[in-house]
Amino acid sequence: MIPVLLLVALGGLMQAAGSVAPTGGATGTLLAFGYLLLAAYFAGRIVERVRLPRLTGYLLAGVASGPFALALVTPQMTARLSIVNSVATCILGLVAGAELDLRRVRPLLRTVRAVLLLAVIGSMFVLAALLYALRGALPMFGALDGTAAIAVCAVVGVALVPQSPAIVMALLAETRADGPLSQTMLAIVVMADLVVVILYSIVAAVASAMLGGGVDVVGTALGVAWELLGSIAFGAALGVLLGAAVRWAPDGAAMVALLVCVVVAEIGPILHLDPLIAMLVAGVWLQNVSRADAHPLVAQFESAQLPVFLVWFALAGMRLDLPQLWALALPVAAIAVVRGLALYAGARIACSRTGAAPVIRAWCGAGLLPQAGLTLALVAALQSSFPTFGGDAAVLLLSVLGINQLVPPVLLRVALVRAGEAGAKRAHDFAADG
Amino acid sequence: MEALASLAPALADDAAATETTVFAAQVIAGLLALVALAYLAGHPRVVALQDRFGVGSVITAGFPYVALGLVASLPSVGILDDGVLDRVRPVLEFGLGWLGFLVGMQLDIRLLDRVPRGTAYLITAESLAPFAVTAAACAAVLIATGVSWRDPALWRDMIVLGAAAAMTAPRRFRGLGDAAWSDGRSADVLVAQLDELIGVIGLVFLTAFFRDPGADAWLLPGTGWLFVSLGIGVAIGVAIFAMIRVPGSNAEFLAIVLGGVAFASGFAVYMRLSPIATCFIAGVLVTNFPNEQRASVLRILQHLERPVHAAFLIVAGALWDVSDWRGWLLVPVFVAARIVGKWLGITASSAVVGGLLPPAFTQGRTLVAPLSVLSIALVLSVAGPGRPAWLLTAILGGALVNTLLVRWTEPRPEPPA
Repeated sequence: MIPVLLLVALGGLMQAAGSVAPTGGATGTLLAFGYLLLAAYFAGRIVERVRLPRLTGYLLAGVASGPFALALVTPQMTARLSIVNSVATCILGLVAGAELDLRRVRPLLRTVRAVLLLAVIGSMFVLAALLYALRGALPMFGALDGTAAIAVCAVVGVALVPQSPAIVMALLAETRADGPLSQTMLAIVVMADLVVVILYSIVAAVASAMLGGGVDVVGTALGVAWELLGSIAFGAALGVLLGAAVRWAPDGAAMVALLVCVVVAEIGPILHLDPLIAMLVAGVWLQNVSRADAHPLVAQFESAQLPVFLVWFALAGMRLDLPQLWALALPVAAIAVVRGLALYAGARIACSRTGAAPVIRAWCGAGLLPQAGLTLALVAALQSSFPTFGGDAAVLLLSVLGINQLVPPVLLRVALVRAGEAGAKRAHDFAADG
Repeated sequence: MEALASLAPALADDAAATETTVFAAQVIAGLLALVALAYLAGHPRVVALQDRFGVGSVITAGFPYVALGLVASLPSVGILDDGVLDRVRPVLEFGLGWLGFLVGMQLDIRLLDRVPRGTAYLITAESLAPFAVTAAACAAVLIATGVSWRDPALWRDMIVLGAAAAMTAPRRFRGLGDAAWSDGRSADVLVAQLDELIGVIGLVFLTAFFRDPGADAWLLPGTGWLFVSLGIGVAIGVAIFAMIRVPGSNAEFLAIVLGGVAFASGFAVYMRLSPIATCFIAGVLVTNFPNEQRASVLRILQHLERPVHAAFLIVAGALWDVSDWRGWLLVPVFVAARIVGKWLGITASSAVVGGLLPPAFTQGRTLVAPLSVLSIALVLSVAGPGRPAWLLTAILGGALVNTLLVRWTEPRPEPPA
């Protein structure tokens, strides 16, 4: 009862603030941050009562507060929250990387490779074929001929596939899950991000040529190489830097790591580097290569990551455009279902063929279903590279993303509980005594 | 993904590529400097050296962070440029609110029942005299440099300088999270805690009566905004009081405390009121309403002290424009006027209530007392576009000079026999 009353009180206060300066504005950034943090927390507490993941509550708080529902938080207020979102992405990347213990993942590499091939890459073909079949019901195809339609299907098919390390991390943290399934899922979603980025850039270049726009193949290749290899190299340098901080200044290491996340979030786009990849690599380096004991640092970050999840997911929920989702309900539902089935079936086949443990075979596919940050990045890239159909494609992608943010986390939570890995990890308590 | 969208323009253009490489080198150098700073800050020899030279107080210990922000904002370095500063401004606003909440959380109203008779006069005299003398002296200097006394901005700035001078930090003060006075602690701590109250009250009036109306839908007089300011603090304080009863773990407390302070602070900023004052009122309510969560909230606040304080000081350093000579001109005036004001306050309180107060309250009162970190927060809370840059120089410079003077004037410990 208290969480419900508090949500109402917070909503009332936001309404009151809005009545003073109805247009909102940049001065509302901190207000929006505080409100989303609290609203997401209490919404999470409420949905937990009905045995849904708290994460679903965080997203629903964003949906309800966003411009397409109660409009308590305006787009002007959240414009500058992009920095919070970027920093949160970096923190999630660092922790996800540091969670990846390559010694534990190495025996599972065969399975990981097979899942990437059959589930992730295989789903791209399935989704492209589905889009082609549905092209009469989707405005983005307009009057495109067969070849052009195939090109569009290929690009959008790739953009529909990405997974979400952030959601998997959040669920693992919420359920305190650990074990072979958790490690495999995390390894797959982290590597799938890299695979999708590479494939998207290749498919986008080919599609651009097929659509007659012409393409600078060398420029694209250099751009992709810089973004990927540059991010990896930059991430490794950051890993060395953080390792030095952990070894020589253990008391200030968390502060240094936080500032590194802020700096990388700020300068990543300027340097044309991917902050998520850079911080993932930094985390992997810290955990697996550096001689520094990164556990205290990672434990500190893990114990303090709840606010990061709250704001990150509430902001993600705010982007869900309900009227658009309603307008495209049938094709979006079909795509979401087929995507889920293709990923799940692909993962299951891959696990069976590589002799993975039964628990991984049964539940690994559930980790591939949620979508979040990378899809948003691909939407932006697609709109910029393909102005003719990018806008309509973005509507479709964001609608599918909305469904895949809300429903799959529930399945993933069930998977972790059924697999017996929930509660296996000791929680690091922030500011614990002693 | 930027590169995918733009087909690698940075690599296609040699000039841009060179610029990018230089920028990347600057960033790496900046990060290395950061690690070096963290290493040095925690090194036992540096800590010992700080103690030896008396730079252990919060203000002087924080100066490396201010310097880091200042250097990062230089055009030749370009890490914290105007665009970035604009985006990270909420960090500063959060820091101000966090400080106000922490100061409020440590003010147990019941302590007022335990202080000796005459303390109120002592606090009032020792705060108001430096306030009045500093404000008057700085005003005289500014008028001499051509500022009109009819300009309302002059009066606003004088209130800021006076309020900053009024607030003191205890002489041996480590950490903001340990500022609560209790029986047996030095009278310095009590005086510091209570005169911060006067600074906060001054800030409430300042932001209500000198408020920028912007494009508000509400048209209220200054008095109206004064009540709105108090009302917001109370409403959010009650909400936070209810919220802290929900969490079950420290991680959840962290989310609630961060969210509560950000919400209170953000609300005040959105209404163009003071985040320090609003969060202070909320903090006082949370600590004085009966609850069992007070210790948990304080633990979170203390745990966050270093990162919030450092981030706050880095942004403060980046906002500091050291080029305005008027600020440097005011530093000696500010310091000298504050000492004179302190002397007047101590003389007056000794004469009037000296007989009522225990010796610990009247003896050993010092003319040179370190500035409270709330003084810097106060000037930062009124800083911004269109506000004078020299105010920050006057108070940051004054704080540094004051702390060094404290070290030089305090009695040396007796050498062991």
